[in-house]
Amino acid sequence: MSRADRRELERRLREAPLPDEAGAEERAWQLVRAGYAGRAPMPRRAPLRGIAVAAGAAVLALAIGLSPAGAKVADFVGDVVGIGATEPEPGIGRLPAPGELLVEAGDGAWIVRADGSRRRLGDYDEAIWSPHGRYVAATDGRQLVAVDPQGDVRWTITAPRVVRAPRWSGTDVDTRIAYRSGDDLWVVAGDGTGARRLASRVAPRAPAWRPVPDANLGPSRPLHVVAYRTSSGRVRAVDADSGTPVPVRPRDRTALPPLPRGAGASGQSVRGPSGGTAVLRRRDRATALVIRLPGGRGRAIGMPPGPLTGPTWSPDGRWLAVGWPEGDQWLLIRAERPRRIVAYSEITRQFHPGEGGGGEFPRISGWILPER
Amino acid sequence: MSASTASSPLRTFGGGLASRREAALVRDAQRGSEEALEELFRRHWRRAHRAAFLVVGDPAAAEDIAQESFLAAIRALDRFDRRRPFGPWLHRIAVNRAIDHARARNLRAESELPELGVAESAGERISDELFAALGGLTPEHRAVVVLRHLLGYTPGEIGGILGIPRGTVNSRLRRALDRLRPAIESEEG
Repeated sequence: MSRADRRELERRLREAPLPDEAGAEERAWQLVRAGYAGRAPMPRRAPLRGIAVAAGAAVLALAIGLSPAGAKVADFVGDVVGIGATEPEPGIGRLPAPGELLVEAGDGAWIVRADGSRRRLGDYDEAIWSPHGRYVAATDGRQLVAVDPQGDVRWTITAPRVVRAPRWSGTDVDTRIAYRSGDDLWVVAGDGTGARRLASRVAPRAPAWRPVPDANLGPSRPLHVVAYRTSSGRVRAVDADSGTPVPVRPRDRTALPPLPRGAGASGQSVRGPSGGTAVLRRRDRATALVIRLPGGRGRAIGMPPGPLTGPTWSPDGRWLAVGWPEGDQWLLIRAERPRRIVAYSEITRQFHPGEGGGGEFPRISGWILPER
Repeated sequence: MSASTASSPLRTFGGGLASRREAALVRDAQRGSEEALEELFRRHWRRAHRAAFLVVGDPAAAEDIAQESFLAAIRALDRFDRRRPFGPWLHRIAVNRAIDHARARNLRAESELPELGVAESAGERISDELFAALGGLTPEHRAVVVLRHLLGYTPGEIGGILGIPRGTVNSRLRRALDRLRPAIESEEG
């Protein structure tokens, strides 16, 4: 091809109009802005280790004031990642509790088994366990896909807009998946049938299922109720089978991801299988993991500086997993005393081989003991 | 940056002043400035969107891919090294996702997605013949054409973005341009 031809090719590639280019830009900006609002700003140039961490812990001790009644700021991350931690190990070793992790690595979903071995399920954006760990619901652009733990696709549906934040709930034999498509809330049965829109103008936050009620409590109670936030921030709940709105309960609010509220923001309070709760609370530049075990006092553990992901409970309710992107580590923290941390480092490289340590930080989506 | 890439009219952020401005934008965005984020977005959206469209050939998919690429970039923003330019990082995410999407579409035989070259957007299509000729290429070949002739990267840089040797980039480019030449020549005539 001559130089003149190449110039002509470049001109056409550059100047040819794209369908609704301006509209696409504005739609994208709204989404990007919403995504940006949901992230915590990076603290200014904070050294990660040693003195600075200890100083951060001291600041935390003075400023945290976040203790709910009875909570005690008892432990701080002092060195490396803390609290009698084992030295971070490159790679992922045996998990300290039974079960398997589901991981979102930006350009792929992975399962990490208890022995630390991994399997890539496919090129998915988000992934979530089914209630019993037999399947994974994953998103790929406008597609919602159900795959088995070997990565084989069981079914696929295509939504009108990009699918985000799937959440899977239900009983042994009857499950539903709620998900967002654009700014609509949708639901589909666990076998991929009956997809329907439940609500419009929902906030860019994940929906949350209510626990399935005990069948003995009465046949009239709806089995599948999902709570969500509207674009104005209000909490709503709807019976996913009838589409009928139902009254909101206080627990619906705590089950939903909170809206960003600036420097004093809390993450989502996560309830563990044994009834304990854990939440990442941020005050100024300090973050603490606040753990409350059933019948026990709340305890706050100082965390390393910078944004964190999680927490995620282990299936036995004894451990919590927190992601630390700036340190490129996963911290697995024993909830009970004696406190113990297992730290896995160089996590990104484990899920982005061949990218020289680049790639999106892998986020733990769930930790489950599969019933297979 | 080599002379050949600097000559690309679309690659305008390589200069010292501009790159310092961009580094400042990234720093401010990392610290929470939405204004800085918007400027970064406006600077880079159109090229990322266009690149995705030229690789996948489907407007809705291209919009989704470019959106997702920006969201992925934002999620990883805190870990981004400000000494490096933002554009190549974003383009790497977008083009690789577009290739993956196009490959997956071929594998899954999605009937509801229009094939490249027959997307209906009457009056707004890139010239029919060029579009059809692009559609006749594999996603990997379309990607090297887009990275070289839309985004202005050198073959060495393209190799880094796609994770392939420079020789492979050059051979793909040569083969792709041979296939596109009739479309260019006939429309010029």
